[in-house]
Amino acid sequence: MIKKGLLGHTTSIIIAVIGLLLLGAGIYKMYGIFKGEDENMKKTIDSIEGKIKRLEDGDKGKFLVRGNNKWYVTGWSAEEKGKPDKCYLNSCICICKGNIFAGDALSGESCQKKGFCRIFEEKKVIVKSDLILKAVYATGENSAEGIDSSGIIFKSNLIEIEVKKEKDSIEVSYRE
Amino acid sequence: MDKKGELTSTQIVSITIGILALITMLFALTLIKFGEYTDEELCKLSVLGRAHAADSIQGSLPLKCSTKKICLTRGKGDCSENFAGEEIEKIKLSADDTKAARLIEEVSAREMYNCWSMMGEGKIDLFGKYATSRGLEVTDSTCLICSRVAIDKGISEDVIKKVDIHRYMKEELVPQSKLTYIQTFTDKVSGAYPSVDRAAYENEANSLREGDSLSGNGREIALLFMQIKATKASEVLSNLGKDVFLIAAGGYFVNLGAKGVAGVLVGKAIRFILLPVAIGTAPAAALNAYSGQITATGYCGEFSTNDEKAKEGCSIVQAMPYDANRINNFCKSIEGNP
Repeated sequence: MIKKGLLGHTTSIIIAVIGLLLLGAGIYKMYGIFKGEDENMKKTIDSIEGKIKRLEDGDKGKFLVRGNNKWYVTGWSAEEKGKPDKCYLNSCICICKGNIFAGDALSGESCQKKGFCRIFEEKKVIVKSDLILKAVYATGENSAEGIDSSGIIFKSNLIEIEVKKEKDSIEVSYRE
Repeated sequence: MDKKGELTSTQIVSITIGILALITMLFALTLIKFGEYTDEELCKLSVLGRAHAADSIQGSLPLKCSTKKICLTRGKGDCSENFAGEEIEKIKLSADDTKAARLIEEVSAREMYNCWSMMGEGKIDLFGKYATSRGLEVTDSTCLICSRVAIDKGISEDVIKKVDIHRYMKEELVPQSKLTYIQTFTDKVSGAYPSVDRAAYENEANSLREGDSLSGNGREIALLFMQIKATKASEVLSNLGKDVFLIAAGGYFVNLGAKGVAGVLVGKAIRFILLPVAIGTAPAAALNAYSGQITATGYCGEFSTNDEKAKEGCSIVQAMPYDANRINNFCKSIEGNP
């Protein structure tokens, strides 16, 4: 025979558990709907990679990129030091999270922690923008000659970047 | 008699209610879609989420609207000049030039309508709180690029010359509707394009600076949704009316607001259609290309918003050449997924 109290409690517990599961599923689904900054940045670096790889040696191309102003694009040549480990011994172009003007370093370490890199066969990669070079010089820690690569900060709308591809080098640049 | 171990009527009612609640919850569970949402579903959900969210969290809810990339092609072409490295939707055009042109018209008009429809026909305040959360003024324009449509280089100029999107929008019905595109965009009030003060238009078009001429191959357009808030919608209208980039992109406000020539008053709000006028003046010659053909449509009036300071503004769906200068001048910031 079923005891009155036990039946009542069991039903309540089952309903509560199902209710919580339902709530959890809803929250998980909503989280899935609203997350995605990283996915967007992956799409952006894939688009940059696709457009660079489409160029023939000696070609120049301009294309539009839309990012997020909390992220920037940078790159390293194969023999350069301080690259993110995920580039191994190759040249790479990365999209990394950080605000250079807020003191975040343009370093391989920060890209290793929060960034997406794409590897290129060309030995030399230069990524530069007038804006960042000026900011780096302003710190007084570097000379103009000392800097090969800097980075390109995204804006809240579109930026047009220029890519020059040679047999053994890629130069990605942005001018205000 | 209440025998020991038997259920009382109160307990039976409680258990019945419990079981009914359980069934209701299980039914609700089946309504939650655990599979993948399509991009359009995700976008609509996030638009609704943003629109109905409390002020305090509205700014932290991103719009999950991805820019759709459509390549209109014949055969093997994949619009790689425009879309290399990006996921695209290919639409194959007929070998017959006239049929191909009709399909280009259809896709372009449909994408414009979809953008308008997904964004709540411009009546929802989507960017107000988002803008302030990003340090922007609410009066700055914020955009979302709904789609980019490109015509593959393999499609001849002869096909493009046959494309007449104005005619298409005037004569053809919106899918699953009894209204034409123009009627839909103007809330059934108008079935025709407004007349244009051609002299005034040419005057404005001629004022385009040299650098304002269209860049690119004229074969790619971006369909943008732009929203801007102000204390008075008329302020936005007067500023937009002078926007040289809007003119360059093919739209021109003609006597808007004064006599409603281009705009249609619906209650206190204005629905309008902007149209490009094909003219032969040098800087504006490119307006006749595909990228300069499409009209814009918009809504100016009160938004559904809690922000009492700036509850009026304008929303526009505008086709523009996919060009950084042009788009950045129209959009202070861009939201959504690239």
